[in-house]
Amino acid sequence: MTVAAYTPFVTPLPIWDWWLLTLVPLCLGVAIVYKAMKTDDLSKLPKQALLISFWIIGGMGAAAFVLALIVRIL
Amino acid sequence: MPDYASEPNRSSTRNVPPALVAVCGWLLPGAGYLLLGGRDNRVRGIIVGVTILTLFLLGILIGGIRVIDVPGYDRLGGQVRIEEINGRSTGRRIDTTVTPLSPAYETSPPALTGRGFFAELANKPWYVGQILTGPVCLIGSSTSLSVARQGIPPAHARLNEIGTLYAAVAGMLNLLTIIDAAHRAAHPREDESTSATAPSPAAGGAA
Repeated sequence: MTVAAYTPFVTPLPIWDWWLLTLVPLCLGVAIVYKAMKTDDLSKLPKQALLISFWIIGGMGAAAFVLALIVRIL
Repeated sequence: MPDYASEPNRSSTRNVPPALVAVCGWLLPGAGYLLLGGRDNRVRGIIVGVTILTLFLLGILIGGIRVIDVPGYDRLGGQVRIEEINGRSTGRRIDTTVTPLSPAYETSPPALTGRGFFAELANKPWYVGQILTGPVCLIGSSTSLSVARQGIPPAHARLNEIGTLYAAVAGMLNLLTIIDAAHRAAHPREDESTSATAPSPAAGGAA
């Protein structure tokens, strides 16, 4: 079996087993842009962006947990 | 309480046409805010621009450049065409992935400029989100096609989907910032008075 060499930006990042972690930067990016638009006082932006990222990730985790429970029970 | 009224440049906005702000926001993410002027808008523009471009580049890093799947082109980088025989269109979609190549391929019109435009967009809807990132997506599209012509296949399974999602979300976020910046340009007085008189009572509250 041959393994294709990894070339950044051309071939996919070899993170096959850790793909779930890609959720974190995406949520952070969405939170930063959203809060940058909504917040008048930008000095509060880092704290608020972290908080909303936490809620997004936590909410998705909770939804996954509930769905897993439903699948197991049903 | 800080005296925000004594900082006239803090959120002052120039009188810029909203359409110009929108176009600049598309050309370079965050540039719409930079045009508005004022320290807050400059900082906002830089934060938003850097974040959107980082998300777009992260998408390409995660899934490879082929996450930009250009409408009107097949997976080998060849043009998709709508078959035309003796000057009459059959409506059939032909591309270079099928061998032998259709004899009508060379004389048929490209799908993107003809009847197949909407069908091509419907086949690759993520591109609509990605193109909102601006010219950086056009550069990515050109690179993606040249890589495809070198025979490098797109990634499969999750990483391709995640990379595609990152690039499309970056574009959709840019659309939001374009709308927001254009709105601030259209209502400069409202924006100024909000910042000057009520700095952030609501902003510090709910996340």
